[in-house]
Amino acid sequence: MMNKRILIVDDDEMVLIAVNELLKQEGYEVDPVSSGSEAIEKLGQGTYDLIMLDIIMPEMDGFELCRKIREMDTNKETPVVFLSAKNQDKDRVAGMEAGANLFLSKPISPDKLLSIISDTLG
Amino acid sequence: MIIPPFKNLKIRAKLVSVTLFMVMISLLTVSFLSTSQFGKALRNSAEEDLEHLVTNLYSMCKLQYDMMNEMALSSLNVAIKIFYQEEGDIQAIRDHKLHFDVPLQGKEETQAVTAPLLKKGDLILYKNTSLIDRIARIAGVNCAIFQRTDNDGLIEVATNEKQSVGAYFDRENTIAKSIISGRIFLGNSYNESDKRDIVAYKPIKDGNGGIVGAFSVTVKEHQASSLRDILKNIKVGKTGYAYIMDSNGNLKIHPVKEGDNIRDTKDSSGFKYIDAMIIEALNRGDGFVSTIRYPWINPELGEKKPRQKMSKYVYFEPWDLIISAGTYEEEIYKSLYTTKRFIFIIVMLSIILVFFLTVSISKVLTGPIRELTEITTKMVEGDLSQRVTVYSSDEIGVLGTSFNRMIGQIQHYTSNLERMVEERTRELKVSREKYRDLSLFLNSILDSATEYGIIVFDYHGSIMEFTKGAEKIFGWKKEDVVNKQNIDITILNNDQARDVLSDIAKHTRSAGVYELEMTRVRERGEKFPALTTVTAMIDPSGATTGFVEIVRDISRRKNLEKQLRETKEFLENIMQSSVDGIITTDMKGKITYVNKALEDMTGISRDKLLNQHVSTIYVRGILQAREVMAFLKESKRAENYEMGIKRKDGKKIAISTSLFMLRDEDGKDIGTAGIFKDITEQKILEYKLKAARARLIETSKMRALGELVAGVAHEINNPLMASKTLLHVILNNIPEDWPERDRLELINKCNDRIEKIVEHLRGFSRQTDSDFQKININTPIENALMLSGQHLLSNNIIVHKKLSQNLPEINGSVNQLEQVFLNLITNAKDAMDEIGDKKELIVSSYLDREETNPMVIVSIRDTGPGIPEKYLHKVFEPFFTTKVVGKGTGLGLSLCFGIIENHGGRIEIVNKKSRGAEFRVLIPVMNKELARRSETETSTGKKQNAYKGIEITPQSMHGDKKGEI
Repeated sequence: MMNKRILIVDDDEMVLIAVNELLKQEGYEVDPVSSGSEAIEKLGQGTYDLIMLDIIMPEMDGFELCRKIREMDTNKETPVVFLSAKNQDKDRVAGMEAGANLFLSKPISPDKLLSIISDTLG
Repeated sequence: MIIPPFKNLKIRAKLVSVTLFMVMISLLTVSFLSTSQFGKALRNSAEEDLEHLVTNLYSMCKLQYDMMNEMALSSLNVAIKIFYQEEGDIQAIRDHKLHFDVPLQGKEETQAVTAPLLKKGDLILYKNTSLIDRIARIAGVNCAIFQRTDNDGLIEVATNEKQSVGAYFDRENTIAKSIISGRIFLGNSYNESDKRDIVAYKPIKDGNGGIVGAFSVTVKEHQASSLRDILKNIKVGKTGYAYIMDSNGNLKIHPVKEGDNIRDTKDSSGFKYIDAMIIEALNRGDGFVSTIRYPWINPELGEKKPRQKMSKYVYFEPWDLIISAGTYEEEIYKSLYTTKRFIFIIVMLSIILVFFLTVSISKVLTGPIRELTEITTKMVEGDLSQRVTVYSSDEIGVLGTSFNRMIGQIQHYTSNLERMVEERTRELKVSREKYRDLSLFLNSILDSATEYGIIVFDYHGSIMEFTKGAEKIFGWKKEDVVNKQNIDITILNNDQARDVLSDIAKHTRSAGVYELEMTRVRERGEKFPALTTVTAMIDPSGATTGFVEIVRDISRRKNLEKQLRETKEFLENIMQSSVDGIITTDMKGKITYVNKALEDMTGISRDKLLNQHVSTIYVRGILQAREVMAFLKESKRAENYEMGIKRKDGKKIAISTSLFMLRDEDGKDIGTAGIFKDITEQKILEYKLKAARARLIETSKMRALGELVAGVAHEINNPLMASKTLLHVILNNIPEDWPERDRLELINKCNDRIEKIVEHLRGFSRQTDSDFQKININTPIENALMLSGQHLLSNNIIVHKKLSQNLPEINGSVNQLEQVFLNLITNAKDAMDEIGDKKELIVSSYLDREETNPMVIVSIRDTGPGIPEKYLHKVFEPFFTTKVVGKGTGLGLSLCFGIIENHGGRIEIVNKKSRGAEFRVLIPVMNKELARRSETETSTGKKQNAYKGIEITPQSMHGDKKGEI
């Protein structure tokens, strides 16, 4: 069986490394990138099973990136999960309106994160 | 006139006509009854067949509908159960508004509506397809979530199968009404194209039982095809069939024309019979079978003539369907038509026969009557010579004889009458001359008195003498009045009416002279006040023959008096209506005048104030009165002096006063005057302004701190996330017996603690109010007391609870306020730890109407040592604590401060002089409506407050004083 492919976008190097390690350990195929433009490049090259986005990033923020993904040809239908240090209701709504499937707040326990990812991948 | 010619017939002729008539009646009756009975029987059996057919089709629809309803309800219960199993409470975030544009009913425009954000635990329900997809998959029906909008409508925010959302029901909609009142709705789909689908809605409630939305399921109607097969096989008579349409005339099931709209179809007479059927069916309602008959030409069969058709139909309301079956009537009635035609011909022939018989008989009868009519017409024209020929001895013969006799009598009467009367007229006129005996000498003396007018008039008032002075006063010329006019011309009509002359006569007879002031009239009608002296002229026999009147014009004097009076009233009015108190005293300090405002200000009536010494109303009594007098004697005038006066009830008011000396014409001091302006309100405002400014500084300081804390908390989350995740990876990778595992677990615990602190900090700085609603402040107080009750008891603390009932509601969060009160109660408990005896906690709530907006106040008081003065301004700052390390975070009170500020209120600390500290939480009453209500309730009390309700402390009064007076 093919491993599920996950794209992680976060400008915080530490978060990127940590989540990458966690997901790889579970057997997922992970692409960690640290900016919106890198993410778009990756998304143009292939299809992913799940995309995880941070919100606050330089140049292009997570909301904008999410809207762009929903207009793309390749990954239009891929579930998008926000993973952000923001946790106010207005951010959650903005995330849903941008087209996300789920909104998670940092810090989230690794066990919970893994179970949610596995639920979303179905 | 109809019966006599008939009576005049010979007996045989009469008999013949009566018989014919009777025959005709019975013939018609029998033929009519037989055809109608036969027709009715035939019709009934055919109609019953049709009726059974449509009734059966109706029952089929109903059965299917009931099954779908049951299915919808059970699916809804399954779906809702799954929905509630999701983690977390349902809550509506009233501060976060979702905005929607919904189409207005039947219009192009849209309307903007808002709804709070709805959450289940951390999940946002708005556009949440993953949750609803899952529920729909398990329940096996289409599901949707609706939210209650702020205007009590319902808006669709999530649905499965990626269908579009945004369907909106306003508050008048039946579905919205059911849901908002907490009932399940079961019915047809709102969607026009899926009208036969069944939908079921159930209210969604939040943690407090408030209805925040609805969950809905839709059951699709798939079985129309089976109904269609049955319908297509139905034949009525030779050519009839059954079909189903909706109330707009769209054919839902039809042998050939399915999908067409036939509402405007006309029968062969041009009548829109389908339209009539629809109207009738809707009028009669669900389940009633109706019948319609109409002429119809079927061009497809090459018909030229219309044939009558009959249809039976019934309305199935739940799905808005009209079920109809029909056929040609002639297929039922063929034999009836033949019978009818035969009977019709026989009856027509009989009627024609009877008609001819009647005509010939009447001709014989009407001859003599026509002659009588002609004679009468000639008589009316004046010809009385004509007579009627009498032919027979029956009633008509008798009539002719009497008629001839009457004409003779009319020629008998004529006569005439004439009369004249005349009268004469007479005249009698008597006049009398009066004698006059006054000398020219006397006249000249009288004329020289020009300031006085002298008038002589007789007993009846006729003027006999009129001097120059009188001419000047009254404007009349002597020659125009003497012997020509009556004294009445100088007297008001009113006075004439009450007979002033006889009044004068009475007085002069008894006293000789009568002096009076009265209003008189000049030649031009001008009125003026006059002083008049009247003496009577008496002849030797003692009878009064006339009067001499001396008149003086006193209008100038009267005018002066009036002006003086008006000026005085004008000044008095100004002083009385002044809002400032005005007071005067004599040189000894006795009050000589006070106005209304001063009475109100002191609460003492004018009668009681007058002649009192002015020092009785001064706060500092005689001492102050002496100071005022001494100051005035020196500088004559003082402006805007602030001092205190006291009311009848002992309350003190701050006033600003202007004082000056009163002087007489010679410039000699005769007294003092003062104008008192009540500045109590002003003083209170100044005090409040100062307090508000201090609060503002405090609040902005706290807000700045809050933002800083929130920023820090947010920044920590990223590295914390990384740390936790990496640790998790490491713990997974190392063997179970790794020597450092315990230490790594410890780091994990540290991370958890950091997370808790950050969460707490976020709570402190949170700006949103997640669960604000109308609440009674006593609810969170009771909750907090219940939670801490056992703890307080075990610490030997006696709790006094004084909660005011009937408090107006506030807008707030029960949970957050409960946290505040719990925190304050815990602080109070901790404060009393060190004291040995009399540990008491007093918790009270009450309404404070003194504020500009009424406030609900909760006071939590302890009997501990109180808060040291130096800490009073620091206790609300984050991380400030006096407790030992580890016992408190120092965030409790700052959290309380933030929460209460979010509620639009504030916290005050009062150190009790006796013992202990009091925390007062003030929260504004919910809305302006309530505020207004409680204001009117106390409006009387409020007005009095201006004088007695507010205490002015001696310091504040003396401190602001500008100079000693």
